[in-house]
Amino acid sequence: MSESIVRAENISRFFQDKKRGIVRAVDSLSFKVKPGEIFAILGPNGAGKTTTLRVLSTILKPTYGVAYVNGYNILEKPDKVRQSIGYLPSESGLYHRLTPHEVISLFGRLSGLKGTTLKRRVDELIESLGMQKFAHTRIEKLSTGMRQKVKVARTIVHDPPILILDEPTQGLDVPSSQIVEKFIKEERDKGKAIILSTHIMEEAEYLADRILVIHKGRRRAEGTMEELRKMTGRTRLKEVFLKLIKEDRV
Amino acid sequence: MRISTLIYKELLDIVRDKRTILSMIIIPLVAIPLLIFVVSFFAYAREKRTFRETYTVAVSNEIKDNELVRLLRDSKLNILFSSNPSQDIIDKKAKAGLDYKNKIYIVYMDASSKESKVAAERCEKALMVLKENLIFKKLENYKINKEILKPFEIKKINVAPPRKLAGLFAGILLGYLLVIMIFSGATYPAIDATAGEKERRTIEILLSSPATRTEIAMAKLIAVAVVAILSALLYAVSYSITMLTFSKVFVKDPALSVIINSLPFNLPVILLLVLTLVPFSLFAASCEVAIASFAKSYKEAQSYLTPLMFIVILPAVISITSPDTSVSLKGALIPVYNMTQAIKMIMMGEINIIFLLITVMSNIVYAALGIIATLKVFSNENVLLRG
Repeated sequence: MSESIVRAENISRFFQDKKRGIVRAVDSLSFKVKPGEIFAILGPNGAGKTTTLRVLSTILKPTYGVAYVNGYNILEKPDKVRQSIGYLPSESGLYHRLTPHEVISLFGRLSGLKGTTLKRRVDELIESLGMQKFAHTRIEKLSTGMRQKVKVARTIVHDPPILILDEPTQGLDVPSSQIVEKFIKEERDKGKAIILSTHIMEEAEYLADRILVIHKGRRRAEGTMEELRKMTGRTRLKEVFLKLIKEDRV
Repeated sequence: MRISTLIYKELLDIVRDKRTILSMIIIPLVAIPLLIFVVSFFAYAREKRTFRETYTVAVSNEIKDNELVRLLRDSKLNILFSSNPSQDIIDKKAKAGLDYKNKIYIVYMDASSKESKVAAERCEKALMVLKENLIFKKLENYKINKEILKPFEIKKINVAPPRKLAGLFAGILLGYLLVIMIFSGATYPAIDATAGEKERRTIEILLSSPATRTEIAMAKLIAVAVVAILSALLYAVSYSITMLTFSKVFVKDPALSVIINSLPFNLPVILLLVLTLVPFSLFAASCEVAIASFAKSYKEAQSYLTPLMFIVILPAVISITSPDTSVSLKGALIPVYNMTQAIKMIMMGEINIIFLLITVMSNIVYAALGIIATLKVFSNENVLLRG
């Protein structure tokens, strides 16, 4: 077994809310992700999935705890962490007035690629994702599926060893979802560590090698699909999930 | 350099926006000259007509003085003898009215009408001539030389060179225009680069890139400042060219033509202007970027920035309404006001080095404070991820 490339150690993130007081969006979560693994964080809306991924991406600082991404401490070396990840936020936007070529090149340059290396990588992505026909068309004129390809290309332009994908198929139609699912599996097969969040049971079951179930910011269970089934004595993932949530409520 | 990549991205994004093109290029280069020309043409034509036209003046039946009637007629006024001259103005039968009661000539006019005012002025002039003629006649009767009324003459001579007058004229207008246009030119790009990023949901992808928040904030600031200064200069250039062309077409007064032709639009003046405007633009950009960053949408950002424009307009208006060229050094510390005064100085070619230095230095300090505030805002996760 290879070493874990992402290691979260008791990460917590609290928010101050005027009405609710202190909200524990993420509460002492620990997990490890290995290269070549798809690790799904499964939970209902408001479970703390996005906050967890934002902490790992250094967009948010944890209130407590620490995580190591590609060997870098997220608090001490946030720039190195960001260099190591490709982050696809939930329902993220794109710069509509730029072209796919410009967006991909921009993020490549921000990640340190330049000259012929950058050009080769951008051309390679445009070709592999079938974007040749619209690579120089403004994004505002593209369809959802085309835009999804641009988002994918932008995320992986610097060929990061870790991909962090927040609800990657949310709001997408079936063909666009397929583009994303195919891309996730391909990247896993290339040996990348993929952390994705989802509230769709079927997606987690289809894609994930291991699943972390969270609810109200806390860890409920972790394991492969089979392990979760054994744990709860249920076969359908929906039932497995509900059982875990119910246990929490009890 | 990541910051240059980010600046390029911000500028590309701003420049490709139709709203920026409209406000930055179409309005200053097409709409403003067109507006000035059309408005000026009609105003000029109306002014010309007003002074050429013969107006009717309602003269009281009590006035029997034939000389006055002749003088009025010589002043391009038609006479309408009337029993109630003031009522004739209300009834639109005459533009002005003239009555004589208890040795007092009363001139009636409608102060809301330019034509009525011109007609009344002509009446006054005719009365002045009549008064003078009567005095001269009386002096003649007493065999007194009429020159006794003029023991000396007063002559006013303007020693200000045309360059200075032109500079004052242009400086007052340009100072106001540039300062306002820098702030208003920065408004839209500042909103687009901050609240716009949140509304388009692109802020997270930028924050998760290897670029630091300082780099992201600085790139936005610089891009907004560049757009603001370019926008202001385009307005200024367009305005100046329009005024120069306008003066050549419409202004026939040789003295005014000399002044207009002395307008100091040359390279050293432009360079000095740009040099002074750079820290000021950064100050304006940092204020607007910092404020707009709190908003989660365009609309919200616009409502946050509107009060700022009022704050900026106030010192700019004070500067335009008090076109005094002597400046106190304390004024160099007041943001916006110091800039309008500095521009006036540069345009007039009478530079108070200490004032200019204090202005530039204080604007650098204000810009630095604005940049610190913006960086602080960009390090606040709650503000950045609001939306």
